[in-house]
Amino acid sequence: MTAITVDPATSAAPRRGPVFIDTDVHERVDTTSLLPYLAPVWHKYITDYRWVPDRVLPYSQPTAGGLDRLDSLLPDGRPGGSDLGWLTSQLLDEYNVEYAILTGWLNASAFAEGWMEFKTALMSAVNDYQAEHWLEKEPRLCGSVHVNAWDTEGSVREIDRMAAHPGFVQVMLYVGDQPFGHPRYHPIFEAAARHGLVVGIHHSENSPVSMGFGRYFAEWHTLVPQVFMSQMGSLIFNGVFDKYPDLKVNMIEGGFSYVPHFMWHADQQYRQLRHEVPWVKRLPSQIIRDQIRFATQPIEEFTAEQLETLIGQMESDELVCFSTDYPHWDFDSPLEALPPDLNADLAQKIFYDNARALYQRLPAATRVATQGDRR
Amino acid sequence: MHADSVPLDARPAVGAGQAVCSAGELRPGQMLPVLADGRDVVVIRTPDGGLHGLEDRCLHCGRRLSHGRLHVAVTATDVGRYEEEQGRFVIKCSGDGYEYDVATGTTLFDSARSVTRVAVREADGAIFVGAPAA
Repeated sequence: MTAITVDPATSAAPRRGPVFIDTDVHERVDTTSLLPYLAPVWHKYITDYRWVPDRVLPYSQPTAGGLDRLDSLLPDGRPGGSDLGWLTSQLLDEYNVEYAILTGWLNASAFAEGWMEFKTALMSAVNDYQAEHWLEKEPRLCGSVHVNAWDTEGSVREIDRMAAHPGFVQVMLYVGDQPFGHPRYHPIFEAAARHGLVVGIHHSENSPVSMGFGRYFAEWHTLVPQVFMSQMGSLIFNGVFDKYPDLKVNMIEGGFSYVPHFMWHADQQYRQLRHEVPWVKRLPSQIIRDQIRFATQPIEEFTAEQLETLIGQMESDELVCFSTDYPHWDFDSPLEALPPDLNADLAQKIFYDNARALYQRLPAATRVATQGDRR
Repeated sequence: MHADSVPLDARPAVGAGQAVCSAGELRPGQMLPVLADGRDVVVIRTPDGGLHGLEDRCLHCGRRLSHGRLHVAVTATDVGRYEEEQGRFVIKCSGDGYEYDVATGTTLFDSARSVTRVAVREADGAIFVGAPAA
């Protein structure tokens, strides 16, 4: 990875703001950089056959920077998140980030199922690269163990392998198009819980909404919460949280305004149809409050009253964790995303406390987190 | 006798201390709706011979529980592994499907929600309905 030095002459003073834990930051690696971490048998598919990840969205790009913030693109043409120095300058130093949890971009559950062996090897390479080039160079970064969900045994091996590295705090799945509550995936959740790793489920391009992809990006992107509701329903009603009571899941890049609706509706279905899913022992809303969290981005423009009402409807202020989604086009700034007159205790929980409670493997706090100066 | 076969105007209406039926009339697996001191009660004879009384009204939809079905409760320890809980019986509401443990009146989905239990007893070859059970 080539480090880019930010030119001080063109850099404004950092904006800082509240101390927070960023639960969604995308670092990026090009596939050729993974070659040293892949067995030689795989090299030709990258060097000669030019394998690239699936690209399934039938839309134009949302911005001039594609899926990235235009200003996150590197001068040498690489996409946002490709360079540690650039990411440090634009995110870690620009704002008051205590820890940022890397969520990557190459994840096998964002690809179609198939050619499992290559994808399992690729995930291992991503993890080794992440450890060496990101986690071990910047102590504010925390890692995600990427796994090939289509290869459950390989996923468990990879979780066991990477859990030995203290920099990893979660297992990464992309939300994909398959319901992860199916028993074939349960060993992944077991392994994560056994190691105290959160399972992060992040939005991905291979997730259609209920009637497909729609004709426009705006249409599809509006309905992203649909697929998160689908995954949440799958995990709950297939008994994953009852089977692994120590498991914690963070739903990332789906927002959270859908949560009260889902809670109410799922609870009512459970009251009426419990006999069909007797392995579920708690109301879905209680399971959510006990074991599921939600990253904020992409957050809507709420008034303080609207956001406080929404949190009240969840009957817990411990469910929502702040995320920026750097370097993507719909990045949420910690200075702008929450209403300025939001209750200070709630802001503190969203920016900091909830993520710290969720990610048990995070290093100790480095400073006192307060929300006294949010602007 | 099946609960569904008892029209509203055919329910036994009894006062305190009066028998609602003879013991032999309520066979294992049957439910009997009664109007006891002006209160709707379902008297339940479980397949194992147990005798229970509950307020005859679903918490959610208000339908009479006596029009539901009496089943062995179903539980599971893992996805897909259905097991009957021997000795535990539920009434499943004919409308919204809410399940009530006949021995406690508690819903199977939330231990904090219950219909009122009603004391019932068998004596001298007859079944009597009493006050709400403690």
